[in-house]
Amino acid sequence: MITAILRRAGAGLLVLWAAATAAYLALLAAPGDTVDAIVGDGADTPGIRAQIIQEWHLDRSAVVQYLDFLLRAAHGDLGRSYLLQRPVSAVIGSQLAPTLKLAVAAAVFGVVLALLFAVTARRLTSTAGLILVSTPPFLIGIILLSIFSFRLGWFPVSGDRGFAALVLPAITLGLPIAGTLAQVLRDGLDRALDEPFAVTARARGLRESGVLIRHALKHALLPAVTMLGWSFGVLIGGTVIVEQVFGRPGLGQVTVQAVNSSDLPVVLAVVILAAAVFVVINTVTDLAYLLIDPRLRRS
Amino acid sequence: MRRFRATLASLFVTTTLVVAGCSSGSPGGNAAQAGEPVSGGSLTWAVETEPITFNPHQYAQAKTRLLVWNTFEALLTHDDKGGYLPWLATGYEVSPDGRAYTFKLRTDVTFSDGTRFDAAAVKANVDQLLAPNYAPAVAAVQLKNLDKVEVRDAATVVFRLRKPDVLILDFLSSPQGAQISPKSLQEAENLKAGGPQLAGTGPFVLDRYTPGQEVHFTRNPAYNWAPPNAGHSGPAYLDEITYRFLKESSVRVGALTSGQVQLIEGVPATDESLISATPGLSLQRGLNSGSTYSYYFNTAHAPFDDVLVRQAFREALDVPAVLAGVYRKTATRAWSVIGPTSPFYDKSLENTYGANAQKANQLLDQAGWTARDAEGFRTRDGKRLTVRLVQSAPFVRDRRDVLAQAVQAAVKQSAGIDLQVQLVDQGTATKALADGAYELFDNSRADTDAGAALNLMLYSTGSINRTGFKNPQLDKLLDDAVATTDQAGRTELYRKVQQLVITDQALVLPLYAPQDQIAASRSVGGVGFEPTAGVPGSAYRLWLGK
Amino acid sequence: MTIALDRPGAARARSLRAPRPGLAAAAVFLVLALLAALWPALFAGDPLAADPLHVLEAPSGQHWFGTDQLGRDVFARVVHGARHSLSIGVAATLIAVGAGILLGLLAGLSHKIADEALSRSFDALSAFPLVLLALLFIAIAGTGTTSLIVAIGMALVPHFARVVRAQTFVVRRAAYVTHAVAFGAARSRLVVRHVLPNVLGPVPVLAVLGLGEAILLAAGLSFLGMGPQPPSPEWGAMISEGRGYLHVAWWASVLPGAVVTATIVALTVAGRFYQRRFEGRELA
Repeated sequence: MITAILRRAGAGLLVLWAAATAAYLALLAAPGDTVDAIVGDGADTPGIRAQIIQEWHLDRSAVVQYLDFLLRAAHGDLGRSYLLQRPVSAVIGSQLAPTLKLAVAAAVFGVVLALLFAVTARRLTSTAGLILVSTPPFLIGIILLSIFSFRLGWFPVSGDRGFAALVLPAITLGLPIAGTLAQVLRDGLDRALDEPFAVTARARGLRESGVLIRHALKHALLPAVTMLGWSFGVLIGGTVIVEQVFGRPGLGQVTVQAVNSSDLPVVLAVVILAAAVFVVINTVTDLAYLLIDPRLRRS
Repeated sequence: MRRFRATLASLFVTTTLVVAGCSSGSPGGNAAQAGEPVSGGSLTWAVETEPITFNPHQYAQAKTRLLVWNTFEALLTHDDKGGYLPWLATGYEVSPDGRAYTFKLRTDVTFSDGTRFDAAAVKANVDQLLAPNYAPAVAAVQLKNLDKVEVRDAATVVFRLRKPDVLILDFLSSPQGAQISPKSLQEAENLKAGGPQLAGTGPFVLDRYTPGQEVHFTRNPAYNWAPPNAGHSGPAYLDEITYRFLKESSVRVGALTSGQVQLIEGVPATDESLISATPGLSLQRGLNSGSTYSYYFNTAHAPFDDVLVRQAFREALDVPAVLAGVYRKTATRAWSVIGPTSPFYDKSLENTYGANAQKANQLLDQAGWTARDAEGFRTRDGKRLTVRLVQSAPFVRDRRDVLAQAVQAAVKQSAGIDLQVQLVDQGTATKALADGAYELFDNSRADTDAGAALNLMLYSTGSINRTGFKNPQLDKLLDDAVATTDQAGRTELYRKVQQLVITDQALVLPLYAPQDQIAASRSVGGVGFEPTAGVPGSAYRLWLGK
Repeated sequence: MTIALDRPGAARARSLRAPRPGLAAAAVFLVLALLAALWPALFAGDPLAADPLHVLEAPSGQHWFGTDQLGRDVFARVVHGARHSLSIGVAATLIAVGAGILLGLLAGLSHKIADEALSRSFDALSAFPLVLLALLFIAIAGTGTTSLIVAIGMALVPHFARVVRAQTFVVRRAAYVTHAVAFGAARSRLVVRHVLPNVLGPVPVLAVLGLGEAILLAAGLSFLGMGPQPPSPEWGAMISEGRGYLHVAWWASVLPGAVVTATIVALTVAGRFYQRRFEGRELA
């Protein structure tokens, strides 16, 4: 178990390095150089450019800059944002909590709704789920916002102030998750209900709902856990769009702004963070397998 | 993220100009509803743009100007006639050679961190602006003629210039010229980003900033040095005010109509009817200062190296028709590169060109673009009359991308011109501009003195000269206009500039005068625009009625 | 919509049986969409004809889906948009399928270390947010239809690669391959003649499902302003442009949105139908 975890950690570091390097190389190839990005559409004279080059040490070769970046990143220093003039760690750090809150709320909502649907309304699940996952999330968000915030005034329009402001974004982000998860759960349940153990349970006189909840659900969970890593990808990607629609603070907003303005240090930090989240989630998923399915523990 | 560098100004302006609240969609105004000013209460204002910095020296977004004056103040402020009023300075004198500006300062002002405001503080601010790697654009543009700043005594400071430059007064009325506590300049952790750590002298104190969400100000109880045109004196009426950053216009409007915020700025034309239809809401518009939103022709290569084609493009477009389509009846058509509220605006340009498809076609025939291809576009030597407009998506505002599409449809229909609109990221846009891979460049600038905008865009070495047009006569006119302290003289020089650029050379296609809109609950009093700048004013005048 | 692409659990499933009327409706809709993409003029007029006098008009007999902010007919734009949106989707899917097959085969047939490295990177990439991947790519390549297509295609590659790799593993151990090896068949010949055809089985189904995802992703990126250039009537761009007018003209964004949803639902229903047919054959 411990060697497994250590191996995991090593592989994780490798993933982090690969992600950071790939992103670094990619951004190096982007059109316009760093000085252009910092100048933006402001005044642009050779003097200003020279100062920018000096301030950000852009006169060093790309290789030196890359090594310097790696070295500092290894020490936890992600540099300063070109655009916001703040340390990247402060930029990202202040936006981490709202995004996490949203992602967790959406995940909880998605899972609860999926369980509810899969267990109670199994006929409806496939149609409703299909429509949900087939609709652009930002459209769902805009429509929810129009109805429940602007027309009915039930929820505040945006921001990150308390639980009420979290409801609509979490629903928007959670619905596609619920749609997918409900289908996976349902498939699992249907299969499990055909298995010999379900037949046996029924034969012992257990009621159908009892079979469903006590036995089949446990089996259906395994494929659902596989979805966990995937869900986080969707959640993190989804926050980019949902935060934009609802005007919520968060990493999504930071990312779009950074990509748009070629704010290299921030983009790199977001990539590293996403990769780190991936590594953690993957490890957790593997451990979750072990917990749910004892058979896997032996191997 | 809309960057622009304001500078500017005009000395001794005599022409009357009306800026604030130029037109209004609110019959009756809102003051009647809000009653007499009362002290106390808190407001929430939804704004479109989150500042990239709260340090006024680093100011680059006209849309965030309304936040600056809550916390910071300048030596002078603009009146509504193009002149200056005392603020932290009680008055100033100009030496006969125009190279020394002596300011008398107020002696009763303290920064919110307790530091006294005096001549040494002014010098510390200028020194900071000139420090390496701090504000290169300010040093290179607004302060390019500054020689040194001398502290004569605690209440007297002298700005010495290398050559006469009236724009120094505009600078000292601008956010970049705002005064930050010298203590903050030394101690702030993230000086360039600003925030609660930077102390100013303003009527509010910035005490909480949540990135991506909101910024919160609390009243400065000690405040007692408002400029004469501020509407009242003493501390601000409001106890506190929160500005929330809501980028999507539909979200801002929804937040206002559902009562979640009391004020919003940036109301799209299509939503104005919704505001007027809601009882209890009012709408005001103010025209911005500076240069108009215009298309600049790239004269460096074909087809706009030919003045006939430039004229033809202008004639091909019925500006009022496209504006009405995109902005309903809310946009103010522009005729010059200078905005209609500026004292330098040349009114005689009005109705001298445009909306003449027949003439456009004649001009194009004359220029050799006689043939048409299968899609109906004009061609010359088998080459289609294609022109490219490159817009940087992060900087597009006011639905200028939609307007570009309307222009595209119009010039195709009236003259067979193939306008290609490219909405791209900043890097691609910068590259396209650097490579000259564009025929049209669009831009407006919110400088309080239009002359500053013209220096950047029309001067042969201007840092955003995108026309590629270089003309010694034009450079001389622009130079003289900055060295002239007499308002009438400056007006005459800028009239010549406009004649040359608009009438003779057809370098520019002016489209509309940028404006700001404020929609507010009628319970809010004191809603208005900053004199001259024409952008929403600070929270100092606002009050919350019953 | 990532569903079912690479989750065998979601895929099998008798429960995914779509009701027959649903299948018929999906088929009709897809045929219509295809016709619209090939000959849009059959259904509607000029999608670019602006009419400043009739902007943001509600749906009526004359304008079935109303008009947009420039007075263009939304229905005409939706119909013509089929070509843009579907071709973006198809092109992106083709890239994903092509690269996916190649990489999947490579991983499935290589030695343990190379396979481990490749499939680990598929895992990493497929868990990495698609939107973020596409955003990064667009940051590098610039906005525009081509980079949109490549970005979406690249973001979808891991799905296909993983399935092909898994399938390759199955085929490699199948009796006919071991026999062929025993008879001394050349490696390249083995791959082309035996492995490839048998690996490709699930790919068409996945491609149909992937097409839906590509269209959805394109809509999302358009919303973030990374879509095709105006005035092309791409569906995502239409929804995105229309959102600013939601208070006064819901039709400008909601109706194109409904068409996107209908298309993806139809693709999914059709894809799953063939998936069942395919699996039925496999089981038989």
